Amino acid sequence: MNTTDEQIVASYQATGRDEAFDLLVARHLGRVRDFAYRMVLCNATADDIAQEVFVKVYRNLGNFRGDAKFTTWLYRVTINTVRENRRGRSRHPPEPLAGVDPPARAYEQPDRKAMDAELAAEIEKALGLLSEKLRTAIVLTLLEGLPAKEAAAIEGCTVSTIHWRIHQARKELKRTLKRRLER
Amino acid sequence: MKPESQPELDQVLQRWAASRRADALRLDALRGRIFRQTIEEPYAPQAITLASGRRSYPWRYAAAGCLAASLLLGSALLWSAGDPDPTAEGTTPSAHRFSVSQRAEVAAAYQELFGRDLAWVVEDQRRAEIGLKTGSAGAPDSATPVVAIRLVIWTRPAGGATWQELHTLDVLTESERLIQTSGHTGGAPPLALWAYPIDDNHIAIDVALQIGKQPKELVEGSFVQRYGEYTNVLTVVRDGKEYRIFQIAEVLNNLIS
Repeated sequence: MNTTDEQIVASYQATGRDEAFDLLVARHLGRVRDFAYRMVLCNATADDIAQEVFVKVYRNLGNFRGDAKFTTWLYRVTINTVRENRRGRSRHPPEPLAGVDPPARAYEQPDRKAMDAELAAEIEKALGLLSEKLRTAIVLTLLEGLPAKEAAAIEGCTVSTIHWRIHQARKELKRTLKRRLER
Repeated sequence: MKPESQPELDQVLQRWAASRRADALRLDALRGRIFRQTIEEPYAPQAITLASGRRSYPWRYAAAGCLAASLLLGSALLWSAGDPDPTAEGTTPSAHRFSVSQRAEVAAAYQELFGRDLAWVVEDQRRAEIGLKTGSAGAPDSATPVVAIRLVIWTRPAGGATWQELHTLDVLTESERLIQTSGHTGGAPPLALWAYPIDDNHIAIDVALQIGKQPKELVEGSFVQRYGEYTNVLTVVRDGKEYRIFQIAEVLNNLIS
């Protein structure tokens, strides 16, 4: 039987053993890092955000009350960290949102080549043009595969609002990527 | 209002998302960064710190153990730090925390015991093996950096799902010292190692280990890795078992009084 995240958190709270935290990192690091990338569209920033998220989790795991699912809480922490990062960036010299990654040979992702680089750049540009709320809604549901109800719980809004945001995001993305999608 | 799906748009976005997933190498490096930061984390509740037993390295007990062992070169010394768990299991080899300040504290304790003759120390879960300088090699050189390295050997049945941590070896050594352990006493495999810090926060490490049942297989390699990154340096399949060797290294100069 697989141990649930909530059982792992309870074990951490009862014993303080870091193995429990390690297990949560092993389970969710990829998810958090990929979600952060889909939100910020920059590898280096996504790495920084994922690191910051797990440090926050480490600091606060003892106080996690289980009012929401652990993953819901984790997504909330990640979204807040993305927003803090964006606010921090706005105080510093701006950097372009999409297509900003320098080539990083050590971290070359084999699958990257599987997608036309030009198309990937257009998608990132289109996602970058979405408002943060619309992007969060489409990323959580379509790319993270969460049900609208859970996305609503993460965003602290109603399910209808999430549905509306997904609809708007799809409309805007379709318009931006129209030329591509018609090919 | 439930939005209609747009298969073509959805597919292209999902393909993009799949192509942008972080690979294992990136995640390993990131895991190392997280553990490196949390080990130094001052915010952890005190109760948790005490309960974990992993953040209070009992070097003083180790020092007492060293004295009781009459300073025998190459002798087996008591070393019962609770970090890490030798029976740890998991579906992936989990990363290790590695505290620079703790390693510096341990290095200082050994230096206090053995003085300038100390060349290197290799500890496993229960024992330590020590190398002393002899003759002119014992000449003090305060500028020589001290390097801390942790080697972790994981194993699983070839094709199996569950990894088990087989051995953890903690090395403290002066830069450019050749280490050769006997491996006879502690159950840990014989080890040969040489390390040299290079520019830009990287360190070059040559390592050779004997793995598997008799006759053991010698696995060796030369690696350049960034300080503090827990890296899978070798993978070997032998006698129906897969072994993975992970390595993390830090330079301790300026941290040891």
